[in-house]
Amino acid sequence: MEHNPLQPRIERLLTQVEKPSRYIGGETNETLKPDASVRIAFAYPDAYEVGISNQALQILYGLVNGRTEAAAERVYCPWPDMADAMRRDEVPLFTLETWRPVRDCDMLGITLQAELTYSNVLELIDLAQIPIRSEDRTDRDPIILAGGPSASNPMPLAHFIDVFFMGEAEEGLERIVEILDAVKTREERLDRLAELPFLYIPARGEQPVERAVFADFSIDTAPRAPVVPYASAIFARASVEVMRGCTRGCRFCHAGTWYRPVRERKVEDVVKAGLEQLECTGYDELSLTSLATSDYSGVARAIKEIKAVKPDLHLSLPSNRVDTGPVALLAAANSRQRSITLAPEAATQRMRDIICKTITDEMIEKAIDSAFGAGYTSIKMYFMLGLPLETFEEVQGIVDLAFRAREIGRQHLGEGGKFTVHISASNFVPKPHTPFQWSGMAPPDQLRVKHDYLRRAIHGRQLKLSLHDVRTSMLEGALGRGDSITGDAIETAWRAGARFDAWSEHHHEEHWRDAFAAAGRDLEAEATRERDPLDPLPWDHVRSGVSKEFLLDEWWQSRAERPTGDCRWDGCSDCGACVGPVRNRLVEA
Amino acid sequence: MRIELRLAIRDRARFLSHLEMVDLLLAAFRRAGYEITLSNGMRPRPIISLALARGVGVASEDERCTIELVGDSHDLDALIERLAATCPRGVVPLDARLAGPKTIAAGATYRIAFDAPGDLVAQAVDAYLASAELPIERRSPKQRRTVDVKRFAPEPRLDGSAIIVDIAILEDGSAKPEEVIRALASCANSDLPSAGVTRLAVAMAPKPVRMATTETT
Ligand code: SF4
Repeated sequence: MEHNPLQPRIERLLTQVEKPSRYIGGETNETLKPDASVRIAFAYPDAYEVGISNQALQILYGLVNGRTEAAAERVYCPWPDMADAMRRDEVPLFTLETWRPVRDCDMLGITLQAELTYSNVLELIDLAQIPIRSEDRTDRDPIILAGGPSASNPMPLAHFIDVFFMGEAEEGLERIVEILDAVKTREERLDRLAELPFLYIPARGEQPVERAVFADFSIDTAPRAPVVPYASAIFARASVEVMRGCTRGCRFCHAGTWYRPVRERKVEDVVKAGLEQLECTGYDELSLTSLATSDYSGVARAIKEIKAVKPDLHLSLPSNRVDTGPVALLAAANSRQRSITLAPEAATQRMRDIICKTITDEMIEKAIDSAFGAGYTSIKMYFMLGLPLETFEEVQGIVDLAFRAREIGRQHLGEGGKFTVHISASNFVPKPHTPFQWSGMAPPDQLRVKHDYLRRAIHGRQLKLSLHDVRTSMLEGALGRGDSITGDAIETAWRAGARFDAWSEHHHEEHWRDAFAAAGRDLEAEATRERDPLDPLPWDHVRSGVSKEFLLDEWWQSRAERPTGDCRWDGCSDCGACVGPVRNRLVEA
Repeated sequence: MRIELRLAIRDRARFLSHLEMVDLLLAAFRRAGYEITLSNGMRPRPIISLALARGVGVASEDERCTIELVGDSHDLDALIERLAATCPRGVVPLDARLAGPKTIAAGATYRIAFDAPGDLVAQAVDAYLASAELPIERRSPKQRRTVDVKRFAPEPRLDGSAIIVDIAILEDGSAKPEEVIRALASCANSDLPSAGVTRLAVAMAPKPVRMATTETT
């Protein structure tokens, strides 16, 4: 390989920082394409160990390297020690594969998986020595594209991102690569990209933009050879996405709108891809992923077929619903596992009807009972606090359910039995494109009172409680439904030192409070403000496919405490997501 | 079948930590189609150990890994070939043999290159050799103590503008290459920035019976 002048400078930095393996690349299944005419740097705006575990980025990396002439390389947000050292030594942000500057790539593609990474988006751009604002960039700079679920409200980052990709990148990435290859100046590239209906280019005005849906998900082959991270990754396992989309219709859930309709992968492909991935990666664990894997029609068959080949494999099924016999499924998948996670989200029937979580108390109790009966010794249950129309009864409901679960556990394992009922409560954060997009968050004081109550009530033998930080939830809420003025606040906060906001040790509330104030806004008011359904929303020009009328109707249904059926089984509710070849595609059980 | 594998750790792979190296070797063996024996007990773990911890950033031409594979008729040449295809960039399997009686590392030879003029390095080596002792402070988050580097690495020798040094592992510890560099810098009364450290060889000795066996996983 030709001499790289950055190499000795990077190596010098690596001797000074924590976990240098975050920056070295060279992992198994990494792809090098030195002669590619187009270079794309895919970035995850968080640390290596978080970003490398993201399946979406792995899919895009494989897609560009495997199916196009372009080279995809990777970059993650340098940890503060490395970022400071890079600035001190004027080393620009570089890709892991070639240690070449990101600035020299044709495109920097950033995935937006969470609002709390927005400060890191600016950190990445600045470390790459690219001007922070799009308007200041020239032909010397790469096109900065952002995609992922949080791009569905592009406005908070509209000052900083040249192009937003709406929806599922498999559907349009190859066309973007063709354009990058065909034209080379910045303006020409933006002009050509503006012709694609799923791209939003802030510099070209607020034109309507359509979410791209990967209609062929069901027939496309699942990725076989993901990059195998070094030991520090949060998830180090093979994983096959068995299904995309979910039509359960939980009214708080962004993914439940953004990835409609449901497309299931053929069982044969799931099994083949899973086994091949195990071989290509050397992992001893395989995860069948989706928004709710126990809903996948082929789940039992896939488990059976994979286990027939690899009986001792640790097969994990994240995101199980209470009403789909999760215990039996998990037991079939992994007989050694002793913990199970259930997500009732709300503890009372009234609240479950409001949020459209169509499960009953009996179903929850039955799942707990069969879990303890099957030998599970740890049950974790997820709930949300601060949901719209919540009363104190819902909070009490969580306490009651925790104690009921403990009682069931004791019936099976004895009074002093060795088991844990783990209650985890997050704070409701309204998301764009959901029926609750108009709802405000509960005020922080109210959330804290509820947290205190839970802390006092849920303690003692066999009980465990974890609660999400109210401060970061508020920030998430204020950013998620923000507009371009929110973008000014993001820049101010980042200039004041905000980065890695999802990491409590790095989150500085005061940076954000001051930054919102400097932009003429109050952070908490932004998060807690209820929106009038008649007022325009900053993301109105983004067409998710699901109509605003449907969302509004769902919002009214929530007020009437009426759940809506799942269109896979209860008939179409006319949300608008199915058009032409895009429709629910289920496989045989 | 217990085998001893020798590897080279080159280029960027030298920045991998001990734990990361263990993990990637396990995955590389699995990808190559080998099953690794698990230890007995409540939490079975793959049986693998690396002979001598390597400082992050130090390259190696003699990394020793002992691993126990399921089955007892593995062709060792084929094993090296298959592993070469499954190890990540910079991790190069060199050779493998059936592991004999248990041994421990008794010392290692390093090549240390400098980003400094050759005559300055030569002066530093002369002064180093002439010193009776070379105390260097070792700092860790928990404690500070002084290490006499000369006791563990008595005779660095010039190799062009680099040095080659044997560092012994004695009952009461050892010195790190980075401490030898600091000792040389203090001898030279000057900054002596390193341009790379490579472990050339590890000397193994029979494992004393009284020592407890610990497997690193
Ligand atoms: S259009 Fe109908 S069938 Fe399609 S996702 Fe919406 S509700 Fe379901």
